[in-house]
Amino acid sequence: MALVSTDVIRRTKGHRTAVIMTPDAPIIDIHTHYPFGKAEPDPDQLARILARAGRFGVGRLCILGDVIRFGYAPTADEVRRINDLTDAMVRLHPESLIGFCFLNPLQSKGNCLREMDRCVTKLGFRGIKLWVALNCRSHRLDPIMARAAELGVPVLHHAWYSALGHEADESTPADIADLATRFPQTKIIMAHLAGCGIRGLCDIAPFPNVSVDTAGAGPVAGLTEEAVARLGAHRVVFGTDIPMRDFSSVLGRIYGARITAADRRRILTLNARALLGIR
Amino acid sequence: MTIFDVNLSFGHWPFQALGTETPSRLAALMARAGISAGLVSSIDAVLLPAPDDENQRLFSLLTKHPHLIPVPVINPLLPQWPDTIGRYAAHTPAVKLYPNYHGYRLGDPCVAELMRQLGRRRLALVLPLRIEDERSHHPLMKVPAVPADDVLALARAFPKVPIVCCCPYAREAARLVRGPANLHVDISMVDGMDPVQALVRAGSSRRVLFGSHTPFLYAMAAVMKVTESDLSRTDQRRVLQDNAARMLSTGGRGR
Repeated sequence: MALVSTDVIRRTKGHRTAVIMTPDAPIIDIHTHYPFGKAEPDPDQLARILARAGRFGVGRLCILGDVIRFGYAPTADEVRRINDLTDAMVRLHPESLIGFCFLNPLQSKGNCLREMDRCVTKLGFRGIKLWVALNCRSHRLDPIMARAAELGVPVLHHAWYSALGHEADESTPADIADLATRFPQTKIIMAHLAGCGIRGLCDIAPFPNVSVDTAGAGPVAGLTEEAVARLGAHRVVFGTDIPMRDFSSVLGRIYGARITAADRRRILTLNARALLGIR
Repeated sequence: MTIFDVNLSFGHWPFQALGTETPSRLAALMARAGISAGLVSSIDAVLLPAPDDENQRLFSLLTKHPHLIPVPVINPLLPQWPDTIGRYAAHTPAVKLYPNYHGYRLGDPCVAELMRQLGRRRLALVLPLRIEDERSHHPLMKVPAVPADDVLALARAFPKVPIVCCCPYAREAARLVRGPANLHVDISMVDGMDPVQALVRAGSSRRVLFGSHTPFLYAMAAVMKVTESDLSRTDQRRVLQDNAARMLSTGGRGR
């Protein structure tokens, strides 16, 4: 027999192919990593990424650094090299790229604070990135969090709930909540809405200084609406985690969500502007 | 350009509020993303003990929705499976298996017998590698994905049966799309920079099918992966529509 025929498709030809919506202001992506495994910027790769970003209306990208380059616990020198690479890329495209200062809180307080000051006050970076070197319940993070509040920059912290287990010092959303309790004046961005899930939203809901970015895992349906409902749209910020993800995969979570146009604009642009202190 | 979706589900799932309790709601989700038609299975059939009860309900409910094509879920460990396939063969282009949820491997004898029957009846096999990201599983219900190697072996052993492999990650999809000619992959869970173009480059645009995994994932994400890729218009059309139509209308003779 003829199984599924093209008639089925022809009969439904009335449906139009979806088209993406044109943002009314440049989108800001608060969570990107590239290049991976390189010591120098790759201008061609950067140009390709920026061209693809432009196709989606993404006008500003925050670079969180090549966090995997030297493993989970890089030395002070390695941290500096990661941030130097971020700086070199920002200098190539200062109109598009925003640097975040990657830190390893296992390093001494002095090293961490010196690197923060170098990156934020000298190089113009606009945020701090913390990954999995140390669980954020550790008080070794305290000087970093306090200094971030003084500098007025957000701390974007990795978080995930994984059924497959966690790295030894990986933080969960419950750990982020503990951090927020200790530092209510510091702006915190919990990474990976799709990795933290609804349980993660419940964890951070009581803490108005914590936002969540939209990165992580696949485009799980309903999570954007859940984030807006549980946190308010002002606490949800667009982030992709490219190059592990594509802009299409993450923007589809925003354009596919049943939220208002005003909330969408907050998520895509306005919240990041407020967090980063940019126009 | 119209969109045909090979990866749609209907029903309830205990770990996610899907919002597709009626076919109309599923149809509304599809329409919102511009998806015209597709293959629909009962997701209740994965966890309930007698999948065919849910198949019957699905086929009954979808009679009023001609653009939603029902695909029965078969558990080949149940003795009734040949009768189940026989009952639906004239009304469906494919059957769907969930070996990881139903507790068997693709190399088991029951699967070989089922594949022979699919070949005789010229039905395709829809084979999801996973339903959810394994990291997001409920901690008391961790279900490993179907191994891509098992899918490749099955496709080699039964080259006349078209296989639609749903929900592979990018690395798995890149391997599968280079596999035997009867093997196709959907794009629902591939990711990375311009992931559909990367997949087409790894294999062929004729082996890549549009699948959104609605209602588990945002359909718009899958649509945008294709419409906003750097694929040529011809390749986009193949992925969105032509490949599924060709494969499902020709059964095992498709190549």
